[in-house]
Amino acid sequence: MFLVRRRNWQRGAAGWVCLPGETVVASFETVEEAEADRRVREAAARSKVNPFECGPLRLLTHLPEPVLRDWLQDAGVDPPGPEYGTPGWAEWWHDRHAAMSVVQREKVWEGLDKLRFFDVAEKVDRPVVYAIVGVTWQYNDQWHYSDFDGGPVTEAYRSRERAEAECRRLNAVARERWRAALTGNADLSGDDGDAELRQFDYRGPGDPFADRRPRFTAERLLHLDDAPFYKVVEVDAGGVP
Amino acid sequence: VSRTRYLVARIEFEVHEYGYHVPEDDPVVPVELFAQRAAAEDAARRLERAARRTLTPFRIGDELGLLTRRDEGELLAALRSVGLPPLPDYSAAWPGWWEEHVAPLSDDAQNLAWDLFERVKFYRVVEVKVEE
Repeated sequence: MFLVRRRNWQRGAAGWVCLPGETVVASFETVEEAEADRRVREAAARSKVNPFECGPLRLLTHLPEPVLRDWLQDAGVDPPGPEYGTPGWAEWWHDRHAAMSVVQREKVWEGLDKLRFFDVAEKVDRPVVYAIVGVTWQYNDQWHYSDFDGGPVTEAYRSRERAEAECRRLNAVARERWRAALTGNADLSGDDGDAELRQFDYRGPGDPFADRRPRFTAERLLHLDDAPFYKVVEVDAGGVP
Repeated sequence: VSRTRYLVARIEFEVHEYGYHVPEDDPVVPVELFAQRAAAEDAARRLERAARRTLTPFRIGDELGLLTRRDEGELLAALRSVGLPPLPDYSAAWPGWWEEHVAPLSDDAQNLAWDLFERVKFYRVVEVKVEE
């Protein structure tokens, strides 16, 4: 099994930053299928990102800057001149990339051989345990939302079935606690009560390369009884005999 | 039978235009489980150092209070003590300063510089009960 993973790129004040971690976005039986999928996703991300805002040149390319300039000139692309100052690459891309041909843009990306937004990893058979991870809920003054992958972890199981059973029990306990907190133990049966308990937007880590976050619709809000508060996550236990 | 094991976990946080954000319950993503704390601590340290090699604290945030417990004067003195020049006046120039002065240093020296920004951590070890 081959996994296509989105690297943990996030947009900060000083441009894009690639934090540790990946999110699995697809899986395939063969490496060829996975690579084909990765290329499509990579191309989509490239169309949204200024590559020179993704870090210093040393992290973007193996080529020293003068060699990168020659590489671009050989492809008919004029690298940034003195009018862009130092380093000037991000501003140059911003100003010029729209006027480049597709081939020229691809040549720039090809030169930036260290910059990748997705990768392919083989899922290796290793001993695993099944950890129970709390879901991280935050509140925006209107509803609760979860856009983190992780949460608190305190226990794990060798057996997936045992982990799933414990996860169900913990979810039931958590829902009762939340119900009491949300309703003050009032009887909220009926439509009003349903609305009171339907305020959980479980969206997971967002795609930083999407044009925008999916538009919020009230239909997306989960009822308390369907909202997860714990989940089971497979964890590499190769370090445990 | 339950046994105490040691989980290397990635600390999850969001970077945004104003710095970074860690939710109240300190979410982590499990990475790998170990039988011994020392082995887990070693693995976490290796991962932390690998992450530090490609990251710059000032790309994660430019508000010093989010990066270090030291005030600006203490930070400047600490940077001097590991042989680094003062930070430029403008925070927009700090990532470039790091690239010029810290990134070319040896792994150990980069790590010493990173240690001054102790509020930014990427991994930690979490004790978990594992039912065998």
